[in-house]
Amino acid sequence: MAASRGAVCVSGLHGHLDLLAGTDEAGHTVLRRQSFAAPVHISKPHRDEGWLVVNMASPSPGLLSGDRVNVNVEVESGARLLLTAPSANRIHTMAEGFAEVSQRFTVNAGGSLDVWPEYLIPQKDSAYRQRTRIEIEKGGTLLWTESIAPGRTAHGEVFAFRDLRIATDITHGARLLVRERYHIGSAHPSIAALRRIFPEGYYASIVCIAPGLEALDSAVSDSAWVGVTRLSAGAFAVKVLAPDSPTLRSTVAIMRARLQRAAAIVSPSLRRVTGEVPT
Amino acid sequence: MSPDPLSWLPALLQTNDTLFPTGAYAHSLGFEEFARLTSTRNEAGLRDFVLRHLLPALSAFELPYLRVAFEAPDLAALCEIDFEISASKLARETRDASTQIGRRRLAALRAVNEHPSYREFAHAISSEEAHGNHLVVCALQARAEGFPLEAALAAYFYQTVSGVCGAALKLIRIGQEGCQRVLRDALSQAAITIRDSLEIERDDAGYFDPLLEIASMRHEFANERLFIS
Repeated sequence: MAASRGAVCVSGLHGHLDLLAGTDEAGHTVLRRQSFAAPVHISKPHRDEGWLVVNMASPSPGLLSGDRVNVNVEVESGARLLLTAPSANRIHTMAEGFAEVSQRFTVNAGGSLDVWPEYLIPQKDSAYRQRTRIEIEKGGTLLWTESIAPGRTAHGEVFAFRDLRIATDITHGARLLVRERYHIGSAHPSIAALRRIFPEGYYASIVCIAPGLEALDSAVSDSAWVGVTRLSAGAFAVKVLAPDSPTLRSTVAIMRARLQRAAAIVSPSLRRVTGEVPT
Repeated sequence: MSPDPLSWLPALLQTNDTLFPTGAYAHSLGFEEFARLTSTRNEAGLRDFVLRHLLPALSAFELPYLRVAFEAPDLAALCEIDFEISASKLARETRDASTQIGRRRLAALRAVNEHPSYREFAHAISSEEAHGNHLVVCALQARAEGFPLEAALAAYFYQTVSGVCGAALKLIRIGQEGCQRVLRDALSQAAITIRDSLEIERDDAGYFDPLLEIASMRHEFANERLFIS
């Protein structure tokens, strides 16, 4: 019997990523607990400017219908963890069903977490659900970056996904600081409005919470739309819309660098091509 | 003699009128910077903004939350909803506008009808247990004054669209009649917008509109502006 739309497909992979970052006796960040299962894989972590860099990869690479991933990451006091990815996270074309990621990040006071994955690329007819809960204790640091491509634009595939549902909650101390709920499809009115200005619009969202983060340049790019806003003491959000991938990459790199400077966060190099040297 | 089924209507008309001092006239709800960024200059542009940005957001986020607040079982639940609404408004000016208008409305309501629930919510705001978002105050008012839910949703729909049309009079080349035409076009979508909003669960209430969100964020740093938001 064919699965109806929205039903759980039994053919998908049910994987997970579970990390606990702490410090060793020398004060270096180490993974005190690590566990993962396909479709998630992580590289051997390495250190860069005091950060422990963990690359998340997927053998597909990406998610297929029925795939379910649970992510649980905790950063202890004194640890600095950067989660990134070497390639985009594709949500592959699917005839029915959906892929789903549930993720929970916890940063304790004195801990630092930087999450900077590559693009989420929802391909034609794909359906994807993502639920994220991030809890930052007072005194913890978060740099959260999320980028969404409109599709495989090189193939002429633009905003052709079927269904994209993204739910994000970020708490700082006991306070709910950010709550976002997106439920969009290719025919959604906001996508139609977006395409009139950015026919192949690329989108990014950055949230930075850090002790001492008090001000941020309200940079305005000529080719991208950039919005900067203060969420509360020590917390800022940045939104970016760009006409193409290189512009988004360079703008995100610039805004991340500004946030890092403003929050006195030492930045790892990552050796990632951004299209422009952050100033 | 049976009670008048429309006994709530005069109070709704009074408090939904522009004469009622909520301070909403000082806000464009993002339209000022949006118009500048997109070169929106005329009636067609305003209609486009209202139909493509305002109404979908009302349907997917604001009206569902108004309903949820209307149905809140107690003050603690109302305060929790109030914090969720604040967290959903990332742009600082949008967030501040919501609480400024909400608090002004609450103060004005208390001036004409000191209902116990108004006093309790005002106390929650002063003790930082709530922010005082406009949506929540409108829901509180609807319950206190005995407005039916559908009437409360329609009133909020009207005042939101009317507020932007009022701001447009000062921002773009449009006259009173043009604004009324846009308002009427929006009102023709009221029933379906409200009906759709009733299908949205609390956990799903939200809307993706980065164009308007970024415009609201940039308005905070604009060198020239007529409106607070």
